[in-house]
Amino acid sequence: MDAGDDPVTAAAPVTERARADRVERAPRPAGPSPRLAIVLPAALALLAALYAGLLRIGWALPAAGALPAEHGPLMVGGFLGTVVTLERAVALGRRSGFVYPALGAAGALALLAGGGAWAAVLITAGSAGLVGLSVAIARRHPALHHTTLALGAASWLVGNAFWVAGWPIYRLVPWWVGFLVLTIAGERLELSRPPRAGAPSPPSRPRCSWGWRWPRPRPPLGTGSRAWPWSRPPPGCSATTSRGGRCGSRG
Amino acid sequence: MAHRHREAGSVSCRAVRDGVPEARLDEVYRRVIGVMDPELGLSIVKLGLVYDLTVDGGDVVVTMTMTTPACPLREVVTRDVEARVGQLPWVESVAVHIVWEPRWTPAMIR
Repeated sequence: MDAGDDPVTAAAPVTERARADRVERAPRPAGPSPRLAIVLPAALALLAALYAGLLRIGWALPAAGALPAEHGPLMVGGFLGTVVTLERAVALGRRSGFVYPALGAAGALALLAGGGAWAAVLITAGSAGLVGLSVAIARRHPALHHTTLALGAASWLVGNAFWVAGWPIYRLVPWWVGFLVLTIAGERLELSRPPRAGAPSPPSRPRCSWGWRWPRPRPPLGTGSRAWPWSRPPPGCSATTSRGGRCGSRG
Repeated sequence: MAHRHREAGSVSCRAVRDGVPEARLDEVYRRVIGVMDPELGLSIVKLGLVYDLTVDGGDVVVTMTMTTPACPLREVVTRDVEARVGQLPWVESVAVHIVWEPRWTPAMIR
């Protein structure tokens, strides 16, 4: 157990530690347009990939050149990879990080325009950026779920490197599948830590063996939601003001 | 200025200047506790994400973290905190500082 897992150790010096460590101002979004420029090509790639998929399963739709062959690159690189990289860039909050999903979006447009070689290079560059963003996150908080996300990004990068080298798509599939599976696994691992709304909290609820949870007991009638501890004035909210009062006290 | 903590995830509320009414700290706390993590559906205070609230006259500083640095919802949560605290009539500015230490763990959930 590290210090952060110990309630007592973690609690006492919390503010001093927060002050001493690097404080990040929350990033101010510059507006929707820069991100739309990334999201729209990714959305186009998704639609084109779906269309290509329908062609591949034999639907009688107007043919669209080499589009059926680009189903995988459009779906994995043009859409999913670009969106995952954008999500990671938003999380990290560095403006420079948005270059990488922009590379993926450019690659998506190149795929749609039929420039497969350029698309491979652009998307591979974007995936290298995703590896960098993921490693930065994993270094900030070393944890299994962050390592899993980084491994997923690395799997995508390896597959993309083989794509640039001219390997046929079917030989890249394991690497691209590795990207998707490890990314999903990492996010599931991360989300499995904190409880969901309605998860057991004081008072605790019994849980059936197959996972169903009893409904949360309601506060006594007339007490309202404040009957639960987290709706009360903060018990640990010790405000030392000029008069030595406590934040949240009701008198 | 001295302050105390009682448990992991507890919020330190501090008035930087003499003469800041305690009610203001209380009001800020009430606003912040209403901010929900959009993904988990729980209050960011209950989750233990809020470390420190500071009131300096009309300036409020909220120091908090996220459950993971890979969380893309930090801007959403930040805007929500700013909007809710900014609704208080005496508030002139709201700054939300995201810190990564101490690292959030599920043990901080209250």
